[in-house]
Amino acid sequence: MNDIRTKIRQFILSELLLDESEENLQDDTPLRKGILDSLGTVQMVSFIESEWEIEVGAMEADDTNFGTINGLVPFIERKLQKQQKQ
Amino acid sequence: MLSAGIRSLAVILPDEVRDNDYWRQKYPEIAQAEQRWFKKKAKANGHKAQEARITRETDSLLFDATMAPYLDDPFHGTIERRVLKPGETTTSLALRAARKAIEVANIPPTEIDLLISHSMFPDRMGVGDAAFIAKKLDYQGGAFNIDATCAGGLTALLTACAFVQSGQARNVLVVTATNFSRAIDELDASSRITGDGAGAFIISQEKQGYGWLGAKSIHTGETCGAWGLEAAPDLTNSTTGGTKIKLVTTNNTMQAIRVSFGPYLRRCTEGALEAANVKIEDIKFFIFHTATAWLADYSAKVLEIDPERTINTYPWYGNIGPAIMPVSLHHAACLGKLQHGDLVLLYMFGGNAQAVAAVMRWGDTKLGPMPLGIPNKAAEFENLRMRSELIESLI
Repeated sequence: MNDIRTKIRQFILSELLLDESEENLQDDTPLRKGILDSLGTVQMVSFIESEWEIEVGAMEADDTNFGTINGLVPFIERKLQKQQKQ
Repeated sequence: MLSAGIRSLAVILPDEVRDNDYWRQKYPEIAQAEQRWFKKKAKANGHKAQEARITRETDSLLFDATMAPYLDDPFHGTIERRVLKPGETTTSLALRAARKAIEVANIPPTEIDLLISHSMFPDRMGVGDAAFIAKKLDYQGGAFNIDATCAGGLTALLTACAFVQSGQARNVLVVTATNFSRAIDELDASSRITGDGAGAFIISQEKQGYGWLGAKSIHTGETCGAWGLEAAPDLTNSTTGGTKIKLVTTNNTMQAIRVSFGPYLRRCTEGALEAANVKIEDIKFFIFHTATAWLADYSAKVLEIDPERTINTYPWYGNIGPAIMPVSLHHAACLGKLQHGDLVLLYMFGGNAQAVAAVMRWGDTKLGPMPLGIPNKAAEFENLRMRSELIESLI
């Protein structure tokens, strides 16, 4: 879980928040306001899909799953658990 | 059954050109974002890392690879777009296209039996523009509206062909117009990649083997909710009652396109080819839904065709929604890329509606003029290529 959280944080800081201080990105920082816009969301989806080899559906990148880092981590975990069961 | 095809085709792009300086000057933060992008490109990071992660050949990953050069650009590959001035409306733009299509077809309006309109978006809430266009023409036939979002122009065209094929109409006027500059708030990032435009067709009986040969459409229910509409005040006072239709993109919009555009393209194309009883190698030219800077390239890759067999009007106009189809078809014919007897495949994707592909054999279509300021020589037209290439040369 911490591994997922760390990788998500690193991706946001390195690819989406180029000039932002690390302290300004908290686990509950709203990502939908200025960080994950329509194209930023695709970048994040693309990262998640390639990093954990899971697929994100057309409407799964919603505010619940992609609203904060706290939403993203359990979303990825659920996807991974579902994949292991199959 | 009769054959139906395009007797005339005219397009109208607004005279007002809006380039990227419009946003750079009004919104310094966008200019700053562009400067950051320049620096990032100069360091050659980001995009290469993104492309290096692609290990599986899926439509989504292909989408990511073709999109990558445009991700951090605040204009996402758009160089300029045409926009309506205050006082101009969707109806006035559509009307200009309709009049030109009738003029070049050299047909009296009394011989037109039906008008089909698709506007994105009409000048009022709830009712489309068909009757409002019809009453300004010297025309007495029927008029109705069709809605299939960005696939609406092609859907209206095929509906018109069906009326002519079945003998229910001799000639049908199809008009499609886009007014994104009024429908999208200019602080919404989508406004930087969209513009306005209109196209009109006269659909008439055609020689056997010409015109519409086959089509396939599939609903895009998978994308429902990725865009929304709401009523908003029209500050230009150009729309009825001062209220306009506002297009609201969501953070899910591009993901919905990423996941669904390619599979729908493949399935619709296969279906249209089968319906027309031709093979993909028989198709001379392709008209794709160039709603972003990379969709022409992406579509060519999905279908594994030479990108030279299509046209990309995006650098000139941005995303002009349902008007992409008539404008691309018109420009391809005017630039000599499409010749008499050629088979052409058209594909349009309408989110919250349907995706549709159609195969047509190009006949003796009469064409309206190229818009003012747009070169009518292929080499000059293509000289303004992708913004990323333009920027590469500056760095």
